[in-house]
Amino acid sequence: MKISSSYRRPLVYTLLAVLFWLLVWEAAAAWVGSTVILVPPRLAFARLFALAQTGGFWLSIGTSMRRIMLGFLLALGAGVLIAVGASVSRIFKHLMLPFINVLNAMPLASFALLVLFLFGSRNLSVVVPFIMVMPIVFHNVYKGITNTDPKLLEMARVFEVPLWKRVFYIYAKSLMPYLLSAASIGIGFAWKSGISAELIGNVSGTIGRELHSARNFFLMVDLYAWTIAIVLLSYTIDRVFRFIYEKWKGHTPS
Amino acid sequence: MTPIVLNNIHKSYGTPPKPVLENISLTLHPGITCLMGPSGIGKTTLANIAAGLLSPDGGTVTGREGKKIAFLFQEDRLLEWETALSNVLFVTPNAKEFTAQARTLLTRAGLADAVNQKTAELSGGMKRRVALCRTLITDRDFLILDEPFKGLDDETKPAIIEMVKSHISLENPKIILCITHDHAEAEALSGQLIRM
Repeated sequence: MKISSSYRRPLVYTLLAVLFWLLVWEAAAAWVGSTVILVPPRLAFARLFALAQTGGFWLSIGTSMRRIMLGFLLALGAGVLIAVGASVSRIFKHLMLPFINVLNAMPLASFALLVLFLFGSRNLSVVVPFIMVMPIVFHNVYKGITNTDPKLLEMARVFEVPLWKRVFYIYAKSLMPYLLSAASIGIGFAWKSGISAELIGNVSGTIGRELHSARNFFLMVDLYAWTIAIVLLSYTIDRVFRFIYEKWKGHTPS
Repeated sequence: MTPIVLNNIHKSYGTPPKPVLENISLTLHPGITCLMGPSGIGKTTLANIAAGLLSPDGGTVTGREGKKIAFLFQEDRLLEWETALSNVLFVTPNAKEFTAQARTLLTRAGLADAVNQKTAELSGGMKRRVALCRTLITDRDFLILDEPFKGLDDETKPAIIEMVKSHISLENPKIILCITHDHAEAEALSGQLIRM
């Protein structure tokens, strides 16, 4: 099988770019000369490596990931259902739009505090990512449904094709790129908002709590190490989604 | 089978309304009726009204009640990401039951090698034939074929015309409305000929 060099080249460029910025970071840290202000990357990565050998590190990552992913998946489901409802009923659409627009406009911090009072800290990193991602999914999926080719739908109507077949063969094809695009954007939002919510709520046994502790005790090296871990996890999850999207796109010529 | 009668059909488009169909009356008996006329005269509009996809501004359509309709649209309207076979089976009530029949139809249309090919990969003429097979697969009472032989080469066309002709018989009467602007095609179908 021939592997196109255009696939390899961007990876090389990415690695070189990362290396360049690491060197800039290292040089800046050497120039500042204080690990309280700017931790050099080698110390941050060494601390990350040390943390990765402790059970607590993986436990925090596991807890945060489980809750954030649950919020994200619930947002996907609810976003799709509300979008379907809105495309079927105009009344439902007009009823839901103000609610979704308010959620869209609400700042994360005030929302996290409200959820903290209403649902407690345990569910904070489920509810906040859900609220952040659901409007994105709704808007994208709704657009996908309304952009479905009316000529194909007319053809299916003339031939009296049952609804399940129309949904599976026509609507699903039309909205999948929108859903996957929403998922790809949403996963980043879920991750960032979830950890910020954990930090605001100081939720025990989570990444947010670790960041909170690092800040309280001026453990700057820990703060950098955890931040790197978050970036790496977010990047990995985003890559997985993009991979699924590209694979799906490759199977279905448009 | 009762004929479909279009009586005093009027249809206008745009503002101010520009009439496309004025006082058109037509009776479609079982068998093939070819509707001929130059482009833009309103043939497709009339076919859409006959199928119930478009409401006339004036006039009536009777005899359509209870009839099952199949429509070969001017555009192929295929599920481009699906195979030729899937596209034909899409309009059948039971894919398993109709698979053999769909394969036979596609083979008759000269598409034996393209059965499992995605329609996006097929040529214009091949897509047209898949769309025609989709129109013929189920037992429908009223078939509307809008430019059914569009994009077909002279070698393929006679076999496809035969496919359409053999679709009706005394035991299996159907109303077929065929829109074309090619006189030779209309003659080959040897049905009732109406000029607009």
